Amino acid sequence: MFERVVKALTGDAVFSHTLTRRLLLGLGTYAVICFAWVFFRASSFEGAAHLIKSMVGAAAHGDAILTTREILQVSIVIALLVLGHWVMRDTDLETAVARVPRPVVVTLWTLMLGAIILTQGNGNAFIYFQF
Amino acid sequence: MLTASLLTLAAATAWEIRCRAWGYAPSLNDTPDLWAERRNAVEPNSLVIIGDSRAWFDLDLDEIEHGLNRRPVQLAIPGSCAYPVLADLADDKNFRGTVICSVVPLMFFAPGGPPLKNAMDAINRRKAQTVAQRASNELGMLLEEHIAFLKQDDLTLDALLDRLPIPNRAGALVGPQLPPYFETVDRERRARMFSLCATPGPLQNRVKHGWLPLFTPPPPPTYVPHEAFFNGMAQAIEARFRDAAAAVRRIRARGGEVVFVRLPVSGELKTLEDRATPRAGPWNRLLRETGAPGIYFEDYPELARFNCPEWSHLSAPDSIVFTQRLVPYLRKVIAGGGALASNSRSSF
Repeated sequence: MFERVVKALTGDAVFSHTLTRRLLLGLGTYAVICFAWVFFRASSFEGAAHLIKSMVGAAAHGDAILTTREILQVSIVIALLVLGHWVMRDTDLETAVARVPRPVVVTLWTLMLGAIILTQGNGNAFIYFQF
Repeated sequence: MLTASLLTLAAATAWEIRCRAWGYAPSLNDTPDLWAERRNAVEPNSLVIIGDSRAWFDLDLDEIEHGLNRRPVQLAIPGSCAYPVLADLADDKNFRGTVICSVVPLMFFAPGGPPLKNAMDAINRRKAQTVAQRASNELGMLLEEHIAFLKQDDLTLDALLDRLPIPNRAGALVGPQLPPYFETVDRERRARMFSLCATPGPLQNRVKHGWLPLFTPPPPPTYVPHEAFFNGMAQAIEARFRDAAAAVRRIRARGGEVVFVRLPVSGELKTLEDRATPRAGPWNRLLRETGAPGIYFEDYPELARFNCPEWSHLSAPDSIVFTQRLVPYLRKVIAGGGALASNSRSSF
């Protein structure tokens, strides 16, 4: 939605087809999603407000409460997620999967199923399973 | 899809064999859902056990039923403060039963943090539990009773990644490690220590030496003036005394009873607890202000001679013998409306 609004506002401007514009639109969309995720996941508006303040650097203090492992894990997953969305911008999942060799698809499916099993947690494993 | 399923099945089987070789066995995870299920089993006249992990490990449900003619409902939560569950029972207008409440003062009077959160997570889950979560719990238990690698604290992807030797930033506020899996849990939430942990060895050492950092309060936050921080702590502890007394009064007003118990602790952990929360301090004051009976293990030679192999809990066989010896004292205070406390050295 963010991307469509910006596109509608800028129309067919000279810069509209440049790589820079596409990159900025992609990163802008990602930034908006990050804020939306906070409200999706936080258990209260108060908690969401704390997180938003921290994200924009408005928190009164910032203790280092994350482990290096957590930071690395999230960074790698988010980088792959953004890269995946970038690659998939002009295609759909079925077409992309059809182009990938079968052994690679099987390996990816196996890794995903393995990750779901290892994540475990009695229905809390993935938030999407709660709907 | 079929190939991926078969490969996943083969990988899961290999992982199961590996985990069993490490010493893991099928056992239930102690989840807020399981707690909620047991909380729902509480009836107006139930005998209920609440508190921390010592009540969870040390009290045998069969022996209590044998001695008191009532099967207790196990609601103790490891790593938790007992107060929220005590208040939850006090708020339950139907409840007029008996509460056996284990007290570890460092946890019972914790003003916040994990001890309170662990208790509140369970209580809140019961209040907001959905049908899907209840069904998920039932399905989860069926699997956990047969599959060893389903261990929510030890063998999840996150927990396995935590084992990677990645150093943390200087000054990172990372909490001490929680103990590894060293107990089995059944559907009534009866916890039994593994025999591997009850005998000297690497598992026992890891559990034992994990307690001291866990029982050492974290340093005060740098952004709050020390005086303000300690004043806030003192006020929270005072409030806990008042609130606990009010909760006990409410339960007693309906004809119920609350018995506080101090269960065995050993070694350097006992030294730490005795120094940080001497018996003459919070324990005696708790009994005085609540007017409830109390049983302090050190007051009775037959209860005091138990040794906790990993300093904090009794082994499974010892928990049975300990409960057999505790039951006569419980029977006295429950039948006598607190008579034991007024006659024993455990009072004031």
